[in-house]
Amino acid sequence: MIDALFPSYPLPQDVVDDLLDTIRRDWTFWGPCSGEDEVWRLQPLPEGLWPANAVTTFLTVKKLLLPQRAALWSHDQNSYRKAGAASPVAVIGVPLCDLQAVWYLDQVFAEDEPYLDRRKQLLLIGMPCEPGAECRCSRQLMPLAGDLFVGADRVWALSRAGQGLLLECACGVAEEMPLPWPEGPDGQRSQISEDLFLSSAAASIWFDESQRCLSCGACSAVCPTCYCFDLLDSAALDGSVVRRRAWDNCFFAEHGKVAGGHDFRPGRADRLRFRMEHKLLGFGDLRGQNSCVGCGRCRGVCPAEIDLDRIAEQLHLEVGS
Amino acid sequence: MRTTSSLKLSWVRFTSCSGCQLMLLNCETSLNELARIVELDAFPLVSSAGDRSEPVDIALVEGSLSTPEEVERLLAIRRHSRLLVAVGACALNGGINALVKGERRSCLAGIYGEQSAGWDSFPPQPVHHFVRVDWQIPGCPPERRELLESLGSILHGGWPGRQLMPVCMECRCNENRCLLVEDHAPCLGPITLAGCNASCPARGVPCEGCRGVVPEANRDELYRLLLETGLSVQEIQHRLERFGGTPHGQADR
Ligand code: SF4
Ligand code: SF4
Ligand code: SF4
Ligand code: SF4
Repeated sequence: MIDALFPSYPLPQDVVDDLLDTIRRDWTFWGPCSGEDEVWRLQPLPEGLWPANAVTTFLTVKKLLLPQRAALWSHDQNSYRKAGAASPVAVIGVPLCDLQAVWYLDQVFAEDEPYLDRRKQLLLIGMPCEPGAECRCSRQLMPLAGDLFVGADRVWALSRAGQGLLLECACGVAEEMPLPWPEGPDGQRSQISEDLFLSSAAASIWFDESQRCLSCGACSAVCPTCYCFDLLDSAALDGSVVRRRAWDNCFFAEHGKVAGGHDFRPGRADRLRFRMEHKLLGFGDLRGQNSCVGCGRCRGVCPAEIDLDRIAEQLHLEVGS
Repeated sequence: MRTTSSLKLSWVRFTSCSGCQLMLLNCETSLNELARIVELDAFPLVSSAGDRSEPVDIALVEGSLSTPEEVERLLAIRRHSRLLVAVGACALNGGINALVKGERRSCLAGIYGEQSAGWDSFPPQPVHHFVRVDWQIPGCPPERRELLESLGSILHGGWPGRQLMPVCMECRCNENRCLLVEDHAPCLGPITLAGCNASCPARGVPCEGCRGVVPEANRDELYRLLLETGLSVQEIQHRLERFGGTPHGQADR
């Protein structure tokens, strides 16, 4: 699976146009757009504008699958309403690391109805990227999700839906080929083992690094595989009630608090270690699956310049044998 | 679900600019509904009838306190209110009023002249310094959405769900350019309680911290980052003090 081959077709320009027209029939195109403030965001694409390559946008497709703050249901005296259905969106220009992250989210939310409703409406189209200084992606890490991968002169079908679209556009004869992963970043990441992590509870690195952490939440907000959420109920003056799901964050003071006042992670050091545990070791059924896809976003946004890779390296020095 | 129209509500004002009351009055499309479910005992910006010191279900308290008479009035209000909600920065932390510095008597004389010689007055204090506060609605002024959600939830027998998190989280969720990291602007978002949808950074203006401080704020690190923006130690101190009293939710609940 990791070094998977996918059916790949040559892609002359007339087929590109054909393909885009076919997709546009059923989906609204979203892709990376840069504002005047130089921030890249995933947005509905203006007609005729296509990304030249993939971009690690500020937030990833996570914001379409798990919106920052969205109603799950509402009710008033007379009726109960589930949140409205998502509309079909085709996201073009998604980097490979973010496609891996969607695979990860797919595993975590495999039984979550609101997620699945949105996921079904999403067509994911990857593109080649230009790795930046912060990139640490790895093809070995985990499988990827997605439907199509559009390269300079070839296109890959990553899913049955993608394959169907390509057949519709008569793309020639398929060849089984690997995806063109960028050369640079592979293998640059620091991993930690279960044993190393478990024996690190008292390591001074957690304390030292967390002293600078502001608990601002930026790292988890931009992380394509962070998915903690909170459920918030409120009533309007007329008595109608709405339940919303909103992004939460393991750095916040109330995240580890439970009924009765106990706090599973009372200090910032505990919270930093918890985030690291999720990123490098995972939880539950996914234990052992590194969930950091190496996109480098968290490093870029952290006001305190906290860097998970540096922490992992330091852990090896401080605790490793 | 409560549908009676018997709930009595009183808006009580101490020293403030009345901006909090104005925010509720600005919720024009909701005022009919509000009038349907509550009976107003007092609302200074709406009616000149003072509060009748009768028992009420909910007292909304705006402003800070600085005289013994005000404290007595507040104690009486607490006694005859089932729930007491502190509204706005002045009530929660003293707000802008609490910025006044220096010896009290000369402060008074500077503004009111000789007539103030015998007045009894102390530096402005937030409401929770004197009475139990059941719920807090922060902001200078508070958000309309939060006023309505708080009132709606309280009137129907609960508290609204809320997240005690910093403005940065909302700011990042909205994909704003970070003024602190990218532009070295003195933004207080990392330690300020969210809920305003990061409305200032969204317009390119650094957060002033008007919603007060988030629980367990890391003031030390923000102080270090503010020094890097080029502010002097004194400027930083003023900036952090302006709205930075007791962290939200740690006063009573
Ligand atoms: S932990 Fe950081 S580098 Fe890893 S996936 Fe999340 S944001 Fe990207
Ligand atoms: S971005 Fe940095 S300062 Fe903010 S919560 Fe994450 S590690 Fe802490
Ligand atoms: S602009 Fe201010 S509020 Fe927004 S992320 Fe940066 S520091 Fe936080
Ligand atoms: S961004 Fe800061 S100053 Fe502006 S409204 Fe929000 S809390 Fe107040």
